[in-house]
Amino acid sequence: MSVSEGGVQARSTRARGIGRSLWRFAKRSWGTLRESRLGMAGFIIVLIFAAMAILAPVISPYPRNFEAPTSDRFVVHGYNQTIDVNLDYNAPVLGPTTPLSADKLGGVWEINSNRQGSIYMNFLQYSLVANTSPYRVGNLSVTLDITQAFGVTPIPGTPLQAVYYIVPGKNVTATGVPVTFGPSARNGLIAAFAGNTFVVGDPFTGKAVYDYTLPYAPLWTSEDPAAAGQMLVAPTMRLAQVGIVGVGVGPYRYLYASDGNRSDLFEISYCHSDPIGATPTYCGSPGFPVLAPYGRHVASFNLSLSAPPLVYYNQESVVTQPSNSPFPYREGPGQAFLLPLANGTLAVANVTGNIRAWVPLTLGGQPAVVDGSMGFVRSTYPLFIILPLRSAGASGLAVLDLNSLQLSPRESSFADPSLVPLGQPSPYRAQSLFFAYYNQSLNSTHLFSLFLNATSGNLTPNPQFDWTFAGRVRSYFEVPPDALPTVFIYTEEGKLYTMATVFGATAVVPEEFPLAPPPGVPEVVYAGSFGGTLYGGGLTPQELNGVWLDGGRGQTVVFQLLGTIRTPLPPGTYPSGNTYLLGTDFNGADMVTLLFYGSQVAFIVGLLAALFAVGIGTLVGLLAGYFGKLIDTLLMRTTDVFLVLPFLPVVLVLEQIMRPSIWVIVIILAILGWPGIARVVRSQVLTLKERPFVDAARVSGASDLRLVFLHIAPNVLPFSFLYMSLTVSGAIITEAILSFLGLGDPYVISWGGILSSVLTQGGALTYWWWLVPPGLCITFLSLGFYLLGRGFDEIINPRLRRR
Amino acid sequence: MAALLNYIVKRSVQGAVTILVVTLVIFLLFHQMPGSIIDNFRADPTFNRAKLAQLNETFGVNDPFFVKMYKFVPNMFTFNFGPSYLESKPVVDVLREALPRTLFLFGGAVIIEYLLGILLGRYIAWKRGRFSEGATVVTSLFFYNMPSFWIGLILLYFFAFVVDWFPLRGYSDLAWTDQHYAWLAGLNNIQLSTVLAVVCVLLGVVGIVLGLRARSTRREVLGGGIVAAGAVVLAVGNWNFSMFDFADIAIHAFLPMLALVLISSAGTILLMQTSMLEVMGEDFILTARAKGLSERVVRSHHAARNAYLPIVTSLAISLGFVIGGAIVLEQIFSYYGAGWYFLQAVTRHDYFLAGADLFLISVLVIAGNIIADIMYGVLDPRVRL
Repeated sequence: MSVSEGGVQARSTRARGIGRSLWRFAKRSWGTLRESRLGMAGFIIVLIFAAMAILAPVISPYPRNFEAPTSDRFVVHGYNQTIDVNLDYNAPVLGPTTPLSADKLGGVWEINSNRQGSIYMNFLQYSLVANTSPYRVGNLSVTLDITQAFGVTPIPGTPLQAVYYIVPGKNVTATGVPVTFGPSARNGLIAAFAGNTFVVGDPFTGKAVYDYTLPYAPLWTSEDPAAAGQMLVAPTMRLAQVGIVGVGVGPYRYLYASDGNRSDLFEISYCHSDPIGATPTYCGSPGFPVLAPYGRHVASFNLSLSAPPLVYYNQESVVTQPSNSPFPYREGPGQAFLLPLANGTLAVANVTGNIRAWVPLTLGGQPAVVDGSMGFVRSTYPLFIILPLRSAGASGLAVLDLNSLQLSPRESSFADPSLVPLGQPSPYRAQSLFFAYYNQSLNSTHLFSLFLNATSGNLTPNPQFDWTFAGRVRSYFEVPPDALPTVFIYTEEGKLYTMATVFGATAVVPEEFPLAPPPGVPEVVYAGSFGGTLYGGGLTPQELNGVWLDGGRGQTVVFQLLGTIRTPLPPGTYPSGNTYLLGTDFNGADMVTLLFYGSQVAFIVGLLAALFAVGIGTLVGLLAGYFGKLIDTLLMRTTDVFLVLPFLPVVLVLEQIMRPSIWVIVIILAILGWPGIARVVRSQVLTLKERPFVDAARVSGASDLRLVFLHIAPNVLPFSFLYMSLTVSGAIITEAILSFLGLGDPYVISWGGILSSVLTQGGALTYWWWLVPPGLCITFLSLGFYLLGRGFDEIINPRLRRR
Repeated sequence: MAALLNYIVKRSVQGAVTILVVTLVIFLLFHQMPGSIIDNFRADPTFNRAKLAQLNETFGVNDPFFVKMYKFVPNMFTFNFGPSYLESKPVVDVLREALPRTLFLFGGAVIIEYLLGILLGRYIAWKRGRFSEGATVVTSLFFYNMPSFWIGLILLYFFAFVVDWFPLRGYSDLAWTDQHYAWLAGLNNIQLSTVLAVVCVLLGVVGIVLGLRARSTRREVLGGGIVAAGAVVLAVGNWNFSMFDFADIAIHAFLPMLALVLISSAGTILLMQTSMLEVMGEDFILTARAKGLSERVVRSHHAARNAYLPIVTSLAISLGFVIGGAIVLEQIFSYYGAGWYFLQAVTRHDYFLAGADLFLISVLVIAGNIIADIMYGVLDPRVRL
């Protein structure tokens, strides 16, 4: 007991003694360092960078993972086309032309129509030339007067209720090369509801294909989503749409009209001759008697409705074999004409006109009615219909599975029956659903997201996407999430906002879009890609567009949803109001922030590597110098080998063997950095061990280890410090070089890594704000440590002091 | 003389052992590399299978560790490096082209750097405490602490991109030089060997004249004779290498050389300064001054000559540092030398090329060290003990 206590005491006195001598050494060093101007300069530089590294989270202008907002990173262009002023316009309709035609002449028809009866068709084509209006490229504008264009009797009346674009409309012509179509820009049928008339015609030839006179003026009209190109259709299916053999789908489009009490369903078929020559097997077979597009009135329903119906025709899920059915391709779960009845029942009819089922609607156990547009999942599976319901005590969403014709067990509801549903709840996949309710009493719009379970159809709230906008949102739309996971919101005050639909740790906040429509524009609509598809796979975010129609000023404007990339941003202040003092890199990360956080890595690597290297070097030097003989020879020959190993090549090889990380770099730098120090320490020890104080200690009975570590080591420590300072500066530069060569730790921000990325982005000769500051930081920090080392040198070698 | 010879032999044997050990270290390093060294060839369906089996045999791919090592070392020493996957030719041929480029670039840079460093170091030691000292030290240290690739990029930006005086990349591009320096076209008719021969003749004549004038020194006469003989050899030898070709290579090497000189001259300057300061404290300098010799004579003849000793050592030792920097700088300037090939080979797993390259670089560094030690021994008899 007492022995161990005595040991502790002795050890603590010894520790205090070492502490005191270190303190004295530090004080003396400081005194001398103050005399060395360069040493002081180095000290100050190191201090500044140390403050930068420690305070990085506090003083960085932006958080560590910051990326400039989209509005700063992209510049958005809007292109306009003139239309007639001050007419009563319907919402713009977008129709893709045959998008996969090999001649690459795909594009989108933007169809504007006004209630006075005029139809304006503008062909929009994606241009590879920057800042070129997509209107100019095709310049294939068509203007029609619905009362005259198709020569239909009786003459269609006004108002012109709606116009739809049907793909493709007429026999596409082969140009001789297999799978090469004629100019696909000039394909298509339009369907229009004007007055009491439903008319389908080819706008390019002026020939009517079909017309029908309704006994009422329709209140609601729509086409099936597949016709609008609103299914995420795989490329092969796209080909199927233009009638290529081998994919068994029905070549149908469905449209309905309804005035709330009577509803009529129409079918348009485009079973035309195949462009390559082979006629699709189903064309000309029983049930497909024609080879030209035709229209057909399917059925009338005298049912009182609470909301617009939905016609749904999913090509993937209809019965594919014509077999003996009198209605080939028109049966199966993937097709339905859904009529929401005012008595709280949903009538599910087949597109052939027979009622398939009557589904009683409930919300929270209460009977409910549909009170908004029904939505659907845009992918081919699952076959879910999403119903905005209202019961006596709540508003909410429920999911109907078309396979089982059952409502899913878990719906989502708000205990307020007065909420007004806005838009259509049609997610791209059974994943996240976006929907908005307008609250009349608060005059605000609640935009929220729900998770939709792909198998059960259950809806669960998503707390990360939940925002309330002032006033009644005019329109909102989700962009295909594979291309650009964003929801666009056009608010009552006339501003356009974006909200990301990728969910991280924090809730999504709206960002203002750099472009805003002028006052008076009623809505903003998604326009898809001008390559000829709205929703298909492989869309890139840069090619997506939106459109708005400004009837008051007589123009229709298309604009890029993402815009042209502008990063790396040069220093300056940007539309979001952010200022980037040293600009940004390619990802929009603020350079000042990167530099601050990069200093942390520089210090960690530099100091640790130097500490280890000096530790090993001092130890080896002490042992070799003190014990001499065999130990000396062994250690010093090893040192020689390490000394002649070409440093950087060996580091590169070692980096290949181990996985790059800053710890690996630290270890490698330490292993290769010690030999020089060992040599110097050894030579010092050789002289020190002959000094009288060592002899004195020896005769008083000190052991070898005690002599080495307590008597000799403190005297070589100054040299170790000197070399440590110099090694730090070497290590900082080497780390930068390794990162630059792409062998650094990819998960940390380092100055070398920043420089590496400027070279891989090919910007070394363009983006000075990206190239110069990190290099200067490396240079100055390394210089700081080097000067500090020289300051120490002047302390240790008085010969170098100023006379 | 016997002592010197003894020292040289001893040092050479030590060097040979070091080379052997380093070779073993290189073997260990590449042994640890992921995959087998012939994987690239095995994956290449066009590669001759018989050749593959032969490679397998020569380099003992499937042998146990020690057998492999036993085969590796003699292969290195006999320059039997195997084929290069990247270049589709023997590694020896690749390095035969690449190494001289690197030696030219870095040899040139080191010579310039040392001349500059010695001059400046001498000067600032003499001007101790003046502004010019501080300015020189701080400026040179500033460059010294720059990452080599970064200064390379900055130089490229200004001199190759903005003003377009130098090419952006490459080791040689006659078309570029012809386009940018049309006035050099006249050099096409002058052979480099002719110029070198003329220079040698002039040097030889000067040496002989000096030696004759001093009457006593055989050494100058002998040296002059050797130089003149060299001139004859140069004049007879037909290299088919015109001055224009040389200018082309020099222009391509200029920026990397400049970068190297800027980065590394601080070391020499500071070493020379320290060394000079040390010598200037010695008694014989005081004596020289007391004799009334001019400052210039004291500085250049008494102080500087004694201060050169540490420079010699550092020259050789700096070779390792310089060649390490070569990898990065050659990468930046796309200068197809040993360093450029090394990085390509390491990152693209051409292990034959990488291993041989590392081996040759190491041998060069060790040879530099031995030569330095020997020169030191010649210059300072105390070392030989």
